[in-house]
Amino acid sequence: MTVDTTVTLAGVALKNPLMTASGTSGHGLELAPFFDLSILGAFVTKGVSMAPRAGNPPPRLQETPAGLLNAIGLENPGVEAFCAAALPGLATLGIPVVVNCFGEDPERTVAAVEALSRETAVTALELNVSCPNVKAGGIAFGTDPAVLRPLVEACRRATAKPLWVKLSPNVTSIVAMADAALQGGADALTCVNTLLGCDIDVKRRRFLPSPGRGGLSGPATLPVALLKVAEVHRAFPQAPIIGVGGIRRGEDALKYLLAGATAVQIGTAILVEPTAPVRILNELVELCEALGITRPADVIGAAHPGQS
Amino acid sequence: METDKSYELCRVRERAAPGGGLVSITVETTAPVAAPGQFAMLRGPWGDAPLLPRAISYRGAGPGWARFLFRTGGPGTDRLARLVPGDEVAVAGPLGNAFPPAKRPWLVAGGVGLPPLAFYQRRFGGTLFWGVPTASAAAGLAEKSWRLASDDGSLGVRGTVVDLVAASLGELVNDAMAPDAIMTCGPYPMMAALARLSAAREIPCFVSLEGKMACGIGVCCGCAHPATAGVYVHVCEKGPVFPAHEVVL
Ligand SMILES: Cc1cc2nc3c(=O)[nH]c(=O)nc-3n(C[C@H](O)[C@H](O)[C@H](O)COP(=O)(O)O)c2cc1C
Ligand code: FES
Repeated sequence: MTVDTTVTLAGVALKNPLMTASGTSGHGLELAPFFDLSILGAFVTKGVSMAPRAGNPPPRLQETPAGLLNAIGLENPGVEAFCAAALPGLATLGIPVVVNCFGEDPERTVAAVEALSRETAVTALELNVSCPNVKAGGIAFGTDPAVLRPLVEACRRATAKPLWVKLSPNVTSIVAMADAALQGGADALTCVNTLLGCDIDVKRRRFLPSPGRGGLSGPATLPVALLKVAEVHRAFPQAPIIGVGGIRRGEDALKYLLAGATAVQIGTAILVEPTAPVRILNELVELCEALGITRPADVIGAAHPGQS
Repeated sequence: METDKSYELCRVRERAAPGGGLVSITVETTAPVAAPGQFAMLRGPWGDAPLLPRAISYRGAGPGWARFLFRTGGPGTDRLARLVPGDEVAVAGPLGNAFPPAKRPWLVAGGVGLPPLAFYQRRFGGTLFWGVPTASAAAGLAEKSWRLASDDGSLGVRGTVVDLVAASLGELVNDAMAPDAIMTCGPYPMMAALARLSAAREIPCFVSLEGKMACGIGVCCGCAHPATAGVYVHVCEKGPVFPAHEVVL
């Protein structure tokens, strides 16, 4: 039995549903020494902003049970340097290139979207709305529907490329945020960014990582992120979803499809094992064969009652 | 000196636990031969916790094999220490840069900072200084030619390895015997003291940093270390070896 792994995500054809997750795969071809990146459904870059950002002081990382807290602080070289240094290499891969982007306020967010939209090598944009909004006391854009919707609308006007909005799980109702993003004109929703958390160094009596908190990722977060995908799919069955959080095996990826995701992203698993996407793709195909699934695209959302 | 990197499952060929919490494992590998100063990310087949691979310096390497020496005491290194010959361990390496070539280098190791410098000495020569808290921490690994210092005087001279290096510099009879580079790996205060000593004598000094790492391969920006030029350097990408004046110690 051959498995047809192709999926179409909001008009973008992917040869399989696996992508890298932003921030865990570099800006450009850093992973290329380890595996052929062109096997991916798409490549998603680390987040870029208009101006370069130095990021947070160390320690930026803290390992937790089956998880990782990070507080990188959105370090990046800025749109201009990214387009000059990293984008040409990505363009040679022959797969969709998705650039994750953000801004410190609405104006700079729109400026980044505009600048990146001028690049032919960019297939789609993924808007990170978990970034603190400096004009609103540092509250993340993605935690208030009344802030999120106009932001997405402004970005929508600024680009003709597919616009994905990456939702934060650190909200009371992810469905309200998904609604705001879709009303604002998002083509797809990436669910979800990292979960806020912290650790404590008991000897020094200090919170970790350095800002006193960080974003939790890795296997520990899978059940939480999976439920968010399921909730968003239940509320908006037509909305294309990219599932992300804790995926480290083919079976995890299939769970996200069954919950309603069209595609998935692999993050922390790549930090643990640089070749993880190769193994996960093989496992997904083998699992589909074993379960008699000839087209994974056919089982999107199939775990929801009335959809199988 | 930098080599191509690879990721592979390696078979453990030898394991030794000489004492002092130190463990050495030798693996079979098809990766390019590592240079002294480089490191690898190591992880065994132990499930989801501890999650991250561990950055470990090469103690030695040759065609087909690589050796790592590390101190146990954390959840990752304790697991690595339990590997036995025949087990598999995932190795991403060789990663990072290497200590530079020099004619008469002084190699100054503090405690478990020994592996890259012992590796350097074996491959290129140089004078090796090693400081340990006590003789038991050295676990019988000290070689005859090494100059040793211990806090309690139970191995080599009593005092710090920095004092030993300073005294040795003072005893030099002529400049032709002076080191043309000082390379160091160990606790940050020790490396900072050596950097000051080297700067005062205008001897180039190279330090090996040991930051917290997640990926070790330059994709996560997690291993940022303050640079004297202002912002941060990524230890796994630009290092782990830096000219001492470029980084904040
Ligand atoms: C070190 C690190 C850096 C990240 N940087 C970004 C980023 O720049 N932009 C973004 O939208 N998400 C970022 N993320 C979140 C990931 O893209 C992903 O949503 C999250 O890690 C959950 O997936 P995982 O459990 O597979 O890692 C980062 C995650 C990690 C671990
Ligand atoms: S540890 Fe990930 S970039 Fe250095």
